[in-house]
Amino acid sequence: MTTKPEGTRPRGATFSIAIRSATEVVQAMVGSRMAWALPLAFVLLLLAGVLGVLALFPALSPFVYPLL
Amino acid sequence: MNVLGISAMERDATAALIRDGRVIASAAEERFTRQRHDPNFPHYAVEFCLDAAGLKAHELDAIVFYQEPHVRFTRVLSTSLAALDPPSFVRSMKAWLGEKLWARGVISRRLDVHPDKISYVPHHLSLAAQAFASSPFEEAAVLVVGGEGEWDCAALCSGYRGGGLKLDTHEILPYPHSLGLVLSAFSELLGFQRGSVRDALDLAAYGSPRFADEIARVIQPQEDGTYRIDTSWLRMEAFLESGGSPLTPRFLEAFGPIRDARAPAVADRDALTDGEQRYADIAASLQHVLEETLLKLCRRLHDRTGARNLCVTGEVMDNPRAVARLLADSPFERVFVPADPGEGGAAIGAALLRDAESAPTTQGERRPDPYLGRAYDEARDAAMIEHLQIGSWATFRKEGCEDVEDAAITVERFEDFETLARRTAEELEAGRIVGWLQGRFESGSQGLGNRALLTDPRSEAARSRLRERVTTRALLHPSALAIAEEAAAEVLEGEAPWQWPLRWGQATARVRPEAVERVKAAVHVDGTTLPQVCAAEDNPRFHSLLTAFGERTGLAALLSETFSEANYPMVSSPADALLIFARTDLDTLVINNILVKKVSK
Repeated sequence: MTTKPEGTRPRGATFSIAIRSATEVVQAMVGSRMAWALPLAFVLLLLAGVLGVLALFPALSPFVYPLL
Repeated sequence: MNVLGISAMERDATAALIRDGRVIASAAEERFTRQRHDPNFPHYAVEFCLDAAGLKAHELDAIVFYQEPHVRFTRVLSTSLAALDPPSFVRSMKAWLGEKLWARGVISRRLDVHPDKISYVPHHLSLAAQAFASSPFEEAAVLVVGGEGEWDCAALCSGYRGGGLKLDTHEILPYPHSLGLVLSAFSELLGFQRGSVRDALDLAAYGSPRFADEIARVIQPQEDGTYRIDTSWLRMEAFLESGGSPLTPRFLEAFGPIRDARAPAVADRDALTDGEQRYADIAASLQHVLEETLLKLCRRLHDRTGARNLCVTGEVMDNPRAVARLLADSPFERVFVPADPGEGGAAIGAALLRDAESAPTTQGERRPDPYLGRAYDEARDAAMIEHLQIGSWATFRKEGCEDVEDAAITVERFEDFETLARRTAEELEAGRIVGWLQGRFESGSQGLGNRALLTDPRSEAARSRLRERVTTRALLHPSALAIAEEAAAEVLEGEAPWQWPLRWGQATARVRPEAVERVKAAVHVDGTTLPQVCAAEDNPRFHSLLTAFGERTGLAALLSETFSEANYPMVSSPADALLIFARTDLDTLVINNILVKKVSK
């Protein structure tokens, strides 16, 4: 297995980036006094996550991409 | 330290590379994709910036995005919910949850860089940093007036360089109080695209501000010097991804139906029909209210900071008449506008700020000039020009342009630039339209001597031909006057030292009555022009050309327009320029040291 140069994107970074971005959204909503909308944001983020994972499967991606 | 700044996903996607406080390169994606205001990830612009610095993406020390997408998302969510419009909500959420929210992921994936290197800078700070860092000032007040950032629509800041680049934010005017969005809405009413505010406000010169009171009901001035937007006039959700018009029935009832954009363009006030006059009056009123609002913000900022210098930025400040008003009436002694005050400039600012954070002694390069884009290789130009075959052009000539069947082209190469300048001046004096492409292309929307279409400023016929047969741009839009610094006082009211906005085509200036005849093609209907007062150190080659023209005609000034066709971005490469040369009635094209000319057989 070849080693990627330092500073490049590590393998499996997608999940950690998604978690980090979702955390930032929650913090921003609390900071913007929009904590009341967190359940909605949670559902939306979950939906985006599920669709994102489904889009990784070639057999499903033609049906999922129009939704993204 | 090498920092890459990126602005993308909204409008004018741009990349900029900063090395130890110096701007190495910056370019908008539209220059490479030829799609005006291209908002997509700036793949080609990043590639150019990395090439210019001799780097691979993984060798970058930091990558910075020009806004905080997660904060902006909260505002978009709030606006979408408030609209109570399910289709609008779904479209917005699709755009945001599909890509915009995941800027870190997109950048990391597209450039194959470690996500820990990627950070975000608040939108107003990105803009303010570029304006202040590129200014010549040690200390300055900074006014940011844009469309919409995260929650900010305008910001009152100050900057100072004591031991490093420092910015303080004194006040934020939050969403929905956005002058940029109101201007976009009026732009649509005036028959222009929503993003073409500057074009729409060109109508202002033809009208009088008789609707100022009505517009002040939309942009409501406050006693403290700020303003409020009465959002009941507009559908704010229309500014999200939902599409549709932001104009409510109430708005249309007060200001009339949307102007027919196909209405004939006018060049003088007498040609206006009653219907067109009404729209010109609305534009003049909007311009008046905008100027008054900006002046009040400036006074408030001056009271807060006590600064003598002012930097203004944000897309609203891409308004030469408003900048001229600030030069004349604001309490500040000197005013500076960066080369690209819009979203593109934010990429530079974000990178400068990130660089300054890591190296506290870095002050940011004082670089007011716009020449940050790609330069092209002359050997390649020459090879391309050798392959020109005028006989094959007939199939793709622009409608209304002259037949080229009986024409031929001549090519001249010059070792000595001064000889080329004299030869080009000769072409201009003969009334020919010259396309001028030299060195690196400009940041921002204006061609300022490296990508310019030039004619003799005494010849209104040449200007009409330029507009009708080359750019296809309506005559109502003003032309710029490029003038050598030594000759500027002969033509423009005022005196040296010329303020920065007058040197870079960012503010209008009145033409001296006795000089009008000598530059009449570049004088707008209101007696002003858009000057580019060019000093030798600003752009030596362009200054030489102006001087050579002055030696022939007695005035070192040229009518200058951005080298582009209407609705297309400024040309970038010699190939783009050659396409316009082939399609239109552009007579002569100068690419670096090569002069190409159409001649009759």
